[in-house]
Amino acid sequence: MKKESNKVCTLKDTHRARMLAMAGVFLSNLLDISVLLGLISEEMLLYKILNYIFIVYLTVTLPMWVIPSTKYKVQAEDEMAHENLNKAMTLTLTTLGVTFFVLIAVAYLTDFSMEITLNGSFLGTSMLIIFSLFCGFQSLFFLLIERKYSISDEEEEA
Amino acid sequence: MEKTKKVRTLYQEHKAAFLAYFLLMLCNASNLVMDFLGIRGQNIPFIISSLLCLLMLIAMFRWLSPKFGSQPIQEDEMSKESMNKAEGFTAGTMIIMGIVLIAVLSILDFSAMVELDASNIGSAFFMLVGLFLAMRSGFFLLIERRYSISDEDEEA
Repeated sequence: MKKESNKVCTLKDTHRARMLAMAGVFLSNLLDISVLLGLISEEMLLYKILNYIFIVYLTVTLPMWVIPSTKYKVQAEDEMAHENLNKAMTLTLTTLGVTFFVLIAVAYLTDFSMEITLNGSFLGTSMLIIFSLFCGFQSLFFLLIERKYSISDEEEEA
Repeated sequence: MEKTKKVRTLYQEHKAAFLAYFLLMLCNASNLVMDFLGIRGQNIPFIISSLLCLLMLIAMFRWLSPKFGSQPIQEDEMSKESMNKAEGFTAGTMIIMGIVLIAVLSILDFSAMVELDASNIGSAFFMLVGLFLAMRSGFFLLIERRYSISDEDEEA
């Protein structure tokens, strides 16, 4: 009979892996949207090299995030982690909101205008960019808050 | 004279928030559509968007005014859980909606040239924010209502 593994991955490990994977998703899609907007050409050597790098990076980091969280039990959230996740969510929403406000203000001030081709590919890439930004920031803020608390706990003990 | 401090339940808060965010989404979506159709600023579209804007401002005022009066919001463990569920539902629904939209556009081979400027980016941003938050409040209201109905059933 197969033995059930009792390995547990902590919430911190899951979020670290998620942040790394999301950084890759964000950068690779940013590269793709630059091509769609005509900022760089698909024939450029730099694009080809960066594309291969991101493919390799995502092949490594995405399974690093997905496999442990499906194979092992994820540590149940305690009250503290739950609160930290809530704080991280609020910080993420605020950061993204402020970023977009600044973006819109800059576009107004510079009188920005650009013709784009709206299709499935453009929408897909922009959706993945926003999604990865959202998830990446949430994990990043969670890790930062957790680290801040663990450092202050250590200081208290000392 | 003793003053009684009024408390706002999370249900009341989200009911008002839902209306405000829904109108925010509608207002910006109509602006975006009018912009793409090239009819923004014409008589009837102008009246429609002004009306929507007025309704949104009233709804926003109705939602925000108790906050300025510093009415505390009552939050219990159950409503916290409902809120978590509502957030999960919202994220799931938005992702599925996005994927379906992209798939449909790809299958139809849809392609359109649009002019991207600050006004469009702003409208699209506020439309998405309105959609996300209205959905969140809407799911919360639905979950809370479901629980209150099942509680009444149990009591009966």
